[in-house]
Amino acid sequence: MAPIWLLGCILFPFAAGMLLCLLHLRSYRLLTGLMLPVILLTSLFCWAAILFCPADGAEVIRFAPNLVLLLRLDGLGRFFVGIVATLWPLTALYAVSYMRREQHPGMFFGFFTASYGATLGVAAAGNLFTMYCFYELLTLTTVPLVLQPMTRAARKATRMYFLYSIGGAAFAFAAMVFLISSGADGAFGAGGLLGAHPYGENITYLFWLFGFLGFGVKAALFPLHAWLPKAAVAPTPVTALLHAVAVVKAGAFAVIRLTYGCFGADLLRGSRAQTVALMLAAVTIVYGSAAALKETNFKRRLAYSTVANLSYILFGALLLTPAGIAAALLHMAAHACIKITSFFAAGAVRHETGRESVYELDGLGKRMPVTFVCFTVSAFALTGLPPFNGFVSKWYLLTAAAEAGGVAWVGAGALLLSALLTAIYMLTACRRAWFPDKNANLSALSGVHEAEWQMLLPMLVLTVGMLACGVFAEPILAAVRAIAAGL
Amino acid sequence: MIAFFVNFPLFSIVLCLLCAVLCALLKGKAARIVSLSLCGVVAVLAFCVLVYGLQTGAATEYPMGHYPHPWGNELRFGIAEPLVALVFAVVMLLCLIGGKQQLDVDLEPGKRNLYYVMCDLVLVSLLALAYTNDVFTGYVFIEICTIASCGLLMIRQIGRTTLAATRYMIFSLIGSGLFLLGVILLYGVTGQLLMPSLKAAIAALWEGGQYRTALLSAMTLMTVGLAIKSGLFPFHLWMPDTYAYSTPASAGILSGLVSKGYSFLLIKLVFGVFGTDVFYGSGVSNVLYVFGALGIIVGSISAAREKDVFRMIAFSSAAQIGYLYFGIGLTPALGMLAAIFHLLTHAVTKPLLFLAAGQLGEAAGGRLRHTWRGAAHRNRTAGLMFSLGAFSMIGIPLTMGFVSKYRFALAAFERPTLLVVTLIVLAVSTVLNAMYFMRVIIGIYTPVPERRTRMTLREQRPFAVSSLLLALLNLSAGVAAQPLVLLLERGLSLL
Repeated sequence: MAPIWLLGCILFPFAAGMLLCLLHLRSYRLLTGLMLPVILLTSLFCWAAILFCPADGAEVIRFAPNLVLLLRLDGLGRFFVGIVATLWPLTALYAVSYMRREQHPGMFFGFFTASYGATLGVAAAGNLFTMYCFYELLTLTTVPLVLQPMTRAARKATRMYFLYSIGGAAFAFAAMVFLISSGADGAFGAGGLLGAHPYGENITYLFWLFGFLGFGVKAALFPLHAWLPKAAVAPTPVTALLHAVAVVKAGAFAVIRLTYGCFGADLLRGSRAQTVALMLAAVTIVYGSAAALKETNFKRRLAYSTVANLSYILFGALLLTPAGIAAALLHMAAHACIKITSFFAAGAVRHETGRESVYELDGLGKRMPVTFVCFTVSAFALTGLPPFNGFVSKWYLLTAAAEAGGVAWVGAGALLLSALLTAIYMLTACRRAWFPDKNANLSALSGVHEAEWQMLLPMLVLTVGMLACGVFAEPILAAVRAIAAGL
Repeated sequence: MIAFFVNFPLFSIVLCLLCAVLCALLKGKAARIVSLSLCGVVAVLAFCVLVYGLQTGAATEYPMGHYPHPWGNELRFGIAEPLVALVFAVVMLLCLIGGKQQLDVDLEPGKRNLYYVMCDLVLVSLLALAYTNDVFTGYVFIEICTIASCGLLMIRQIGRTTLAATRYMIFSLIGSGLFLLGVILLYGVTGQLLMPSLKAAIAALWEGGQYRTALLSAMTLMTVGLAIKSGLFPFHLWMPDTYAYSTPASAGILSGLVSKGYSFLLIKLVFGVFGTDVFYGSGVSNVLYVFGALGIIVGSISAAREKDVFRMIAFSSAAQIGYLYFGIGLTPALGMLAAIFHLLTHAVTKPLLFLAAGQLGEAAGGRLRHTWRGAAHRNRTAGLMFSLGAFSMIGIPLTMGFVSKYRFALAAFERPTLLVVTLIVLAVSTVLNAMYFMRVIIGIYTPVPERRTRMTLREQRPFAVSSLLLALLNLSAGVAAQPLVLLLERGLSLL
């Protein structure tokens, strides 16, 4: 029963999405009227799976003796499915209002729904091969979403996104074949599958780095991050959900799977490979925050901030301690919630005023109070101020780094520096919105009003979520600790 | 009944020759029907031989004429040979069906039947290359294949094809000349032409350390000759014009089948004449590995720089040929298996790409990439098929291309010294493939204001049918690759 249920969760949105694409519906109402129930139903299925699905895996197809399509929902998978299944319906609602005036809505909603299935596939994959397949599928289903505006910039961004993703997957593929030919081709196991170095120590580390960098492309690891800010040309629901949560966190998730489920944390702990990876993550944290500070395009600034925050997650995971991975998962959930809200706000501004630059936000706070209250809360949370969820996750990241000691101190320093930079780049935007410059032309704002309720509601829900997760952090903390103990 | 199947390789060869003669006498339409049915019949016969091979579980030597072993002319077939022949015949049939629309335009009314004569001759030489057990027969059919291929290319009378045919002829004749020199040297040293006797003689000489230079030269000459003919870097320069300017059906046959026939002959020679110990011990394999790797990278880079989509696909063929030799050079077991699997992958995928590109080119009204914008909206089937072919080339899971890539990567672990290099070459090639194919796919799916009418499915039924079958072949072999791999594994052990 369990595998059929999981397969249904994956295939249903995928098939429905492809169907929406092929139908070429002319009526926007009918299109969204079909899309919303599909997404809601899938999320319901997913929550049912999270709550009731047994943890043992089941084979779907066996392509070859060691290429098996295996679906399984363990603790980590449940966690990721939970994040995705909560955020997808909210974004879908937001998109209904946002996409009303855009071109090609059929293609957009079709692939938007299909990519839900692909993301769930990554989350519910029971072994590396299955994850790799869905990872590629995720690339293919999200490419048309970046292409959506069909402008020259969008085409360039799409090409870059596809190239980076496929290139990353090609290196991850090398790591996968390494594991398969070393006999470590089973389901993700606690403590890893490899056990020893089959071709010598250095080869193991090299292939782990291949896999780490390969999957790290989707997690926008420096210097492979360039696609993410470029992909911000996509419609805001895509940037918000896929390029702040689903796709990029699938990258981080894949790195965690590869490290903990396949190679094994014990094998890598204290190795040069771990040091290299930690340093890369630390560099990305500082680089992303600094680049966000320099960027004046609102959405691209948030995208650079995503670059930095994804490396928070990677950094926590790469500490290879239970505290580290627990903090990483905590930040994964926290950042998902925060960044999607910020992007929703940026999208609402773009939708209502057509403004894209941070310098054009002057005085918008009074015109769009709900949007900017939500944005300001998300800015506080992202900076890591209590009592929001960003504070909790950053606190545990720092304590985990301090516990690990050694090179992790460099990362701890990077985290602190990045927090400072985050405060600057987020709060300057808030400052402009609430306290405009004296010489700003406020009369141009006379016709501006709040966005429709479909756009406001998801923002409000998530803002309340940020506060709730910050104040009542204990249950989530217990959950991630339990997951970390099982890895 | 099954025992009678042993005659079918000979029957199929004779049948092809007869049909070639017959087509020369018939009118265009009748010749087309004869050729299409011939491909079908040959496919059925090859399937029967495959069944026979599976039944007996051993390679069968089939003497022709009345001369006993050391002098006579022989065919030899186990499992791999009929399988390859089957794929060749099926793909050729689908190419001829799918390229019908352009063939109607490109063939001059009075010369239609001649095109099918050439097709039959190409088919017979491919069959002979697959089945022969005699290196000199191999040489003869290599030459026939060259001439017939030039015919397939030249039949579309535009200036570029004449130029391309001249270049192709020069490269090909150098290749077959080198091959002939190698055969002569081997004959001079051993006095044999039949493959099994040659193999025994070579093994004995190599063991005793005699005629090392002569054997090495012969081996190199034959290998290089076949490599030139199938278009291994740096001898791939005849490819872009040859494939890009011929009619799509010819491009599919030339790129998907003809170059594969030579590669398959080389695989046969490695197992059946040189012997794996001699071949891999002599270092010739390493040369193939290096040039294969260079071919992959250089071919892909050239493809990425190309603005003409047809030439781009042709350069991609150069890269795929690089893969083949890369695998042959890597290791005798898994490397060879990957190479022969890739041979089938490419034979199925490249014609699909050329046929779809032909349709898209019609829809776009041009050859250059930037003129193709929105072409997939005007011809949806072709757009879909092109994308599928491209995904297979990139190696997306569930396509045959993925299985090829996976087999190459597995083979890399059989030779740990070259492990990292091999895998990096594979990864880089994937990135390059993704780069140039994606550019086209994004282009053809970018909507433009409609100027032309949309092609309906009915208008392009032949193309739709054949491309759908090619796509199905690709996907089913991608999903159920394991039986095919096992079959090829058994086939290689019988070579």
